[in-house]
Parts: sequence; C-alpha cells; structure tokens
Amino acid sequence: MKSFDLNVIVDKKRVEFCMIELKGFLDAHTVQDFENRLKEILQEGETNLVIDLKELNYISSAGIGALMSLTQDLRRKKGDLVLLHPNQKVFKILDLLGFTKIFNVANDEKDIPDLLNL
Amino acid sequence: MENNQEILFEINCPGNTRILSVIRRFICNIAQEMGFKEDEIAKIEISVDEACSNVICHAYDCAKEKGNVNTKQNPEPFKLKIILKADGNHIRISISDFGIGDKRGPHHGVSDLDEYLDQGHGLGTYIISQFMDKVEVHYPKQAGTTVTMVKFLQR
Repeated sequence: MKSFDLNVIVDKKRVEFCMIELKGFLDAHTVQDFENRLKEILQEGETNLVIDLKELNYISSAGIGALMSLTQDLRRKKGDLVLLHPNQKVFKILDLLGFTKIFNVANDEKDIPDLLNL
Repeated sequence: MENNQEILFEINCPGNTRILSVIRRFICNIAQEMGFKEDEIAKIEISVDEACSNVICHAYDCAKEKGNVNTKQNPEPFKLKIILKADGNHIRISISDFGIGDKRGPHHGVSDLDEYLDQGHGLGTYIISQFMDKVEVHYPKQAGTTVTMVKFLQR
C-alpha cells in the first residue's frame, strides 16, 4: 500500500485560471487531503480552476461530492471549474450519474476559455 | 475461472479508509476473471467502495463520536466483513459492519440526482442502487448492518 494515493500538483503559470493536476484515486481516503489543498488555493483568491484528471484512475462519491461543493463555491464567486481530460472510466461514472450535465468537462485545453467565459 | 465453479471468499479487514483501494483491486480482479465487461466492473467497483466507505465514514465514525460501541459484545467493533460469492452467472457481495448506531444507518440515500443536489448527501447509496442489479439491507438482531449486492453477468 503506497503512503500517497493521490498527488495534487498546482500549476499557477497561467493568469486566467489555476490548473490542478490530480494523480491516483479520489476516494473516501484521499478526499480530505484534496479538500485541504483546495482550501489553500481558494484562500489565495482563485475563482477559476481547471482540474486535469488525465491521471486520475478512480473517483467515488466522496470525490464527486468534493468537486460538486467546489463547483457551487466557485459559481457563487462568479467563477467556475473545468474538468479536463477525464479518462474513459472516470468520465463514464460521471456521465452515468448525470454529472456531465452539471460539470464543465473538456478534452481539449482550447475549450477552457469558453467554458470559463474568459 | 471455470464458468460454473462457485467461489467463496470471506475477508475480515480493518474499518479504515486506507483499505479501500486494496478491496477495490481485489473485487475488480474477481469480476474480470468472471468475464464482466469493463463498464460493469467499474460499476461493481464503485458500489463495493461506497458500501465500505459508508460503514467506515458514517456508521463507525458516528458510533465513535457517540461512544455507542459495545466492546463487550464485540471486542473488535471497527471491522468490516466482506463475503464474496461468485458463480457462472452472478457475483454476490455482502458487506457487514458491527456498529450499533442508528438503524437507518448510513444506508438511507437519495432517489435521484436532484434530491442529492438538494440535500448534499446520500450519493453513495444512490450509486449502489443505480449500478447493482439487486441490493438488500439486513439488520441483524445483535448489532450492525449487512448490505448485500448482486450483479448478473450479461453474456
């Protein structure tokens, strides 16, 4: 068992939004770490976030709930969230449950400005 | 795995979220061996994860907070028992906890996505009901809850 099942990498090179890369699992075990990192990012005043899910292998209701709360929080602040490059498995779970109608999902970085109304 | 051969596993493990990824890998391997398709394996994986997470994060945490744990009756109350039965046409997974909390337990969920968005909880149980073919919840007299879920193999 690895000591870290989720890696959160924050990339702030872009001016218009903050990019976060998730690697591993977003489940009941890792969600607290993820939420703590998000809290730090939001405290810095970020309102437009892009989360790259390319290397996220699994998401459970705990992870979906965290993304949902984040989306609601950002939209209240007139910002938004984009989920970028979800793999087929993660996309399928989100889609079957109806969350692809709620979250902004992109497979191409070119779509990000439109989805964030930039 | 022979098509009609029945297999049975009983797993006793700590009621800790750290164990979830190990349980998921095990369940996925069995489902794959049985011949379930990728999408169906993903549904079984998340359903088992949700049932285990519910016990660990709600039933046990809640019982610990309330001091509502009968350690005389059960000296190791924060354990999960998983029984997996599989044969040629279905997989049956039972997940038992030994808590003595609210009998509605963590297993009351929402009936659709709108209700979840409104209430902000209950998604795990909704996922199980959507992704598995059969779900039963049983409350043994002595303590705890057993959730049994079944998925049939589509050929």
